[in-house]
Amino acid sequence: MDSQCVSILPRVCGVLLVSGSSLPDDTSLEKLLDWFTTVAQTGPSLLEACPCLVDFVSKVAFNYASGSSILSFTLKLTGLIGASEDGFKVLKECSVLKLVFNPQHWQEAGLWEDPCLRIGWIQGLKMILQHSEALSFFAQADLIEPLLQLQTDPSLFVASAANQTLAQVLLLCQSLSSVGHNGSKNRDLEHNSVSMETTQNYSGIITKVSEYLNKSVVLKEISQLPGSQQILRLLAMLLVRVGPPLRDTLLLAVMNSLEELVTTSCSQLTVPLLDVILAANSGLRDDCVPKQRLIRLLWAMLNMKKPDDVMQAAAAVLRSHQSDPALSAHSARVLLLPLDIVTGVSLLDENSTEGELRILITEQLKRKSCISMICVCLSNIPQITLMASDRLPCPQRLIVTAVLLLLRLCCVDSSSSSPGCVEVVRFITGNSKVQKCALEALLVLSKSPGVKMVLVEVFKVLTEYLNSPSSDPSVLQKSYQVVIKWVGVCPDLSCITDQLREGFIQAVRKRACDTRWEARDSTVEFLGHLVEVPSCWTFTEQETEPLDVLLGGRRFTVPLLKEALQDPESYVRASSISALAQTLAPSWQDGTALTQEQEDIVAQLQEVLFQDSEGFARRAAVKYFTAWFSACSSPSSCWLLMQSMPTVLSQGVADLDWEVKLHTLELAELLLDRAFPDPSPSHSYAVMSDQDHRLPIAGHPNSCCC
Amino acid sequence: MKLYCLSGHPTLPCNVLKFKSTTVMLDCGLDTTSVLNFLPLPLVHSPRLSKLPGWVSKDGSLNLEKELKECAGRVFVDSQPEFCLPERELLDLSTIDVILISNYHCMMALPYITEHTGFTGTVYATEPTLQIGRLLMEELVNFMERVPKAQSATCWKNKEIQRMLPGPLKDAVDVWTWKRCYSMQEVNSALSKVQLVGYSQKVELFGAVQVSPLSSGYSLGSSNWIIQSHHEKVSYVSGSSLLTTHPQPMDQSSLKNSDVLILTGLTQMPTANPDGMLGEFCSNLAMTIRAGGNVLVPCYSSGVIYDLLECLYQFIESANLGTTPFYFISPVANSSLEFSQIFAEWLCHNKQTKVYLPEPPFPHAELIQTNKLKHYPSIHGDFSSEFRQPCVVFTGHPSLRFGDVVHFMELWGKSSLNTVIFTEPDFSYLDALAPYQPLAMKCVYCPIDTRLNFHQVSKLLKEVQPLHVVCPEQYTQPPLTQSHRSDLMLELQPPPMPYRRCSVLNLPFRRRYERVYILPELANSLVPSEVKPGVSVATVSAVLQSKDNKHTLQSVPKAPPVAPSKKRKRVMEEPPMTMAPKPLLSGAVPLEAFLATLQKHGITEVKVEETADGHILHLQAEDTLIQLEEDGTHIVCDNNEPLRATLRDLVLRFLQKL
Repeated sequence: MDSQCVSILPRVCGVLLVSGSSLPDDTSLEKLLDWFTTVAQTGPSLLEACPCLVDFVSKVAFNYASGSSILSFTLKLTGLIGASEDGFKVLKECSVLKLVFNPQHWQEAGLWEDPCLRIGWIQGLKMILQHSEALSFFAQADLIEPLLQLQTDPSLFVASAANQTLAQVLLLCQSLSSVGHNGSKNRDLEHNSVSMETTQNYSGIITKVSEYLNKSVVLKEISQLPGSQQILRLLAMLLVRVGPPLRDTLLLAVMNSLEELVTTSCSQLTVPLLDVILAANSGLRDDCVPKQRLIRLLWAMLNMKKPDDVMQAAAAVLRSHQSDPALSAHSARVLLLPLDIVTGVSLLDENSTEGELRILITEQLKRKSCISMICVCLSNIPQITLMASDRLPCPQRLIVTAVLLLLRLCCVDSSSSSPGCVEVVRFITGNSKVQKCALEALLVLSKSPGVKMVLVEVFKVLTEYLNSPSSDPSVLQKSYQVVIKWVGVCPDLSCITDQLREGFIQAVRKRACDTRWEARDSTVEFLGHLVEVPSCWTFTEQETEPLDVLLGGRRFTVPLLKEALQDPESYVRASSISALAQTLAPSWQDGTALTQEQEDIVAQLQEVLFQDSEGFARRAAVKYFTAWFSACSSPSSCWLLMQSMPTVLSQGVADLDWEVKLHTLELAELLLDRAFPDPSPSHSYAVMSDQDHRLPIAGHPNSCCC
Repeated sequence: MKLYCLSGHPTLPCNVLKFKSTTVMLDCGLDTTSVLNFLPLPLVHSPRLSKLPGWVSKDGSLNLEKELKECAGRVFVDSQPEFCLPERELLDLSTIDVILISNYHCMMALPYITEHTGFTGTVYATEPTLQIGRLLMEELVNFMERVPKAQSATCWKNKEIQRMLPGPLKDAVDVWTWKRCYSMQEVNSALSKVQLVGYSQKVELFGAVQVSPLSSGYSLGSSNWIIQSHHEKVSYVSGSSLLTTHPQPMDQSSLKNSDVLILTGLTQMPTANPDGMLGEFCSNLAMTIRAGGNVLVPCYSSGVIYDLLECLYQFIESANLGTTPFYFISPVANSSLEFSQIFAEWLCHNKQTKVYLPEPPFPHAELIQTNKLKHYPSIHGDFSSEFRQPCVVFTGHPSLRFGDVVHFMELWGKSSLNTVIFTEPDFSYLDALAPYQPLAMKCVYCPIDTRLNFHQVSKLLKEVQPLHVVCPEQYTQPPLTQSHRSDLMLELQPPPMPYRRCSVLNLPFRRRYERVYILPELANSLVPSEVKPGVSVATVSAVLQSKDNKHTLQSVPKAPPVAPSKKRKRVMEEPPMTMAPKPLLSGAVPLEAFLATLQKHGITEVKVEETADGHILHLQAEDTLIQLEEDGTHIVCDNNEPLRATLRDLVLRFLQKL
């Protein structure tokens, strides 16, 4: 097909040349460019394959009447051709290169204003910058100036592409310089030795970039805010991507400006500024001077006037896993401050230095915006728990206590009052965002040492949430997850009294009948997951399953799940089928005799396969049989399973839902694996799969339908 | 303007507003929580209740065995239940001109006010309020009369004895004023005084004020009221709701620019979200039915029950409850279900549009058609033959002291499979259940109160911006059980004026203007003169006639002809004495110009002294003082009348005459 394409390419180029600005849709050009890219990557050279392109490029370059999309396409195409050194030479020889990448040329033609053309120019340039020849051309043509101007282009797409290209330029400079210094071989530069002149070119580029960054980082007036943000993003990207010598150069160049910027305390710049500082900080040795200055900058950010900014800075410091212990410890304290104030649990000692911040945060907690602040605090608790215990401002057990108290304060039905900030209660009560963040924090805190003592408290709070009529379905789902997590990590559930269990059972039973399908679905899923939680110990020191301890075992869950099979919502039906499979899996493994209940379930599942209008339920039904078949140690001795198999297989493959078909084929594969366990196929028509002699399944590239 | 507060119950208000020359009663709610102190009235003989031991004080000195019975550690009065009436001693009820009813729950004390008190006024209410209110009253009378109890306990009310009783009887207030239920005859007589009004209809009260009901969104026909004169506006906000349930939405904009807003009837369950409660109701119901138990829903026969049935209509299928029978038992069940379907104009828009389709506005009609919902006047008769379990029963009274609900409590109370779900917020469910203890059946409290919560009301008040707000004192502090919830109270600037039972408030605004009409011929005779650009004034000599609180200026009748004419004689009143009025002066005397004028007239020795209000001119040669002040000019001149006249004329030159 490629040869056919190549043969008609000259005519296509001819059409494009005369099309002018009449091209209504440029997606065809994009596709053409994609094809050229594939040709360039797979074939020997793009020009060899399509020699007519040089002619096309030069004609377009001199033809101002071409539409902007054709021009943009041509610029990118030029970049693609020039990406190889051979192509670059050809372009250079026919003087197209200089013309095409000369912004002056396009400005004079009045076409530079069009962002479409600018983006073509940048992307073309980026593609070409693959080798030293290109970099020399870039330096000699002094293209760094227009490229720097485009860094804060009003078009975000242009600015972003310009950022990427600048990074590309610096990376190329860096790799070529290292070749120059080390004499090591580079794939692109095998036959090159870097001349003195070229090295000067590189350093000239780097100096210009450094000067530009230093000048642009400082915020002179508020109208330049978007530009400043863009520059900071660029800087962060460069600091992450470039290696040590160049990174140090850039960093030293901008350090003064960064210090100046921190003092402006502009909230909109806090996040990008932090990104820059942390990007710079990540690779530096502890004892180097820039590192010390960066640490000072972070301290300055942690002492800003606006509590929101300080919280963001503290969160960023913790997430970046700072090696400076004082800095991380202070950040943890800052992040825990809202929790301390709201709950009144003394997480931080009295002699702390953050007195002023405490006052500012307390004020903020009296306003509605306290929600986001509390959420930042809670969502960073996982980072705090990762810290070494000697650096933590308080034992993790205290944090658990505070989170539990916060959860109580957030619960609408709770009459708990806070010894802390009273005003905040009106905003957080019933706020599902805070509730979810707090539950998420509680989930992580289950791993904390010594918190098993509060299991009962945790259990009570979670039951309260599961019971509360005001709990949002997403909060219910999170509460279930927390139950699973805590029960999973607590080997001893003897503290769960009958009264607690009864309350929990009532809550679960009620949620299984909830009017909101999401709540019913989460409940059914929970019942399935609970089976998979490892065994624990009861007060009689007997090993037992958490399902038995919390809900009284399968005799409670199976009837609920069977009810859920009739649910009007297909997601719930599907979840109940999966949960039933999870619940019954142990009895299948043990080879326990089938009960009447299980027989009823199988009948119901077959009905689902035949009659359910939704794919989710039917998919789950097929997977149920797959799970049963896999878990069963001796499927052939289970008459009901064997009896159901033909029906499931014939119904499954005839299903209109492709996923049902896929799951049926997986079941068939399993069946064949069991039927023919010998790796060498005994039947002559069997198809060998590549690796493990398993029969291929549908969906694989070489699948074979059996 | 005064407000007399006859009830301290925030959602069952009874206030009297004296405004201009009218006396307007705003609602007459009946506080029925007093019945919780009484033993239930069983429909069939209850061995359990009849065997309850009588109460004797610990030391044996007080024996009220016949009046008081003990059950599970609490003492109940064994008598016909009695209600706590609005205060009747604070003002003479016969002086009330009109009673404005805001919704059917707030009119239950009407017969106590209109009958046997000398009341001769009119009651205003919307049609659904009247009709459903009548049903509720009929039901109440029926509940009481079908289980007559000859005994009327009074000894325990003796102050000395009451003091020695255990709580909560000991703490009950004004027990001597508690009254037994009214009769059907009194209900009919009271309701005959009701005059129907429609939303936004303006009703003139003696020409002095105009009252107008506005939709309040709480229940069928529920209203807030505007009471206004030409220059003053009082808004009365009673049970209102912003939720989209069955009634017409609340009219908020008409409440704007009120001088005083009387705010009552906020939700009694500020922390219970009605949607969450409805969900809770459904899941508990399904849970019980699935486990083979029965569900009892003690409720009023109108109101939230429509929403419950609508919610269940959608829920039945999804919860696989299709075969479970739902029973609605009330003497007025049939009327209530049917009335709700015919008040189309009072329904929300969504339901109104259904009137034009071949389907009824409420889906309970379909439940009845498909036999899923059955209604009966009582447990006797047809019900007993069709009764199937497990089932769901909706019946009254929510206090659990009378009505068919008592029977079901006795019947189902012993089994833990059954559940009683409380949906009405008016009664504490624990108090309601007290005489049934020990109780095995599950109890679920899902109070559904759709009335405004504090968040909604503060938003509403911000919007309508009344100058002053008057409200029950309960709204000015957080609930006792949640004292940390400062969001569960009204925080306004200026702070609201709280009231309690028996308060008499002087409402904090003064009437400053009155509208007076002027007849055309009189207006025609006026000669306006412009005192400053755009403002003209004229003097009027007229006769002010006041009739039906309307004031009219009429021309002064001419003196009667000297000789009697032969024309038909007209009865004429003695004409008032007419005197030519003195001209009114306006303007100010400019000091410099005045001094120049004085000089022209030979008065040269003038000493000018500046004072706080103007100037004092001392004419030294003449020994005369002229005080020029903002609102007056005085010439102090002894025994020199010609000089005084000259000076006066000089002053007058600078002033305008009207």
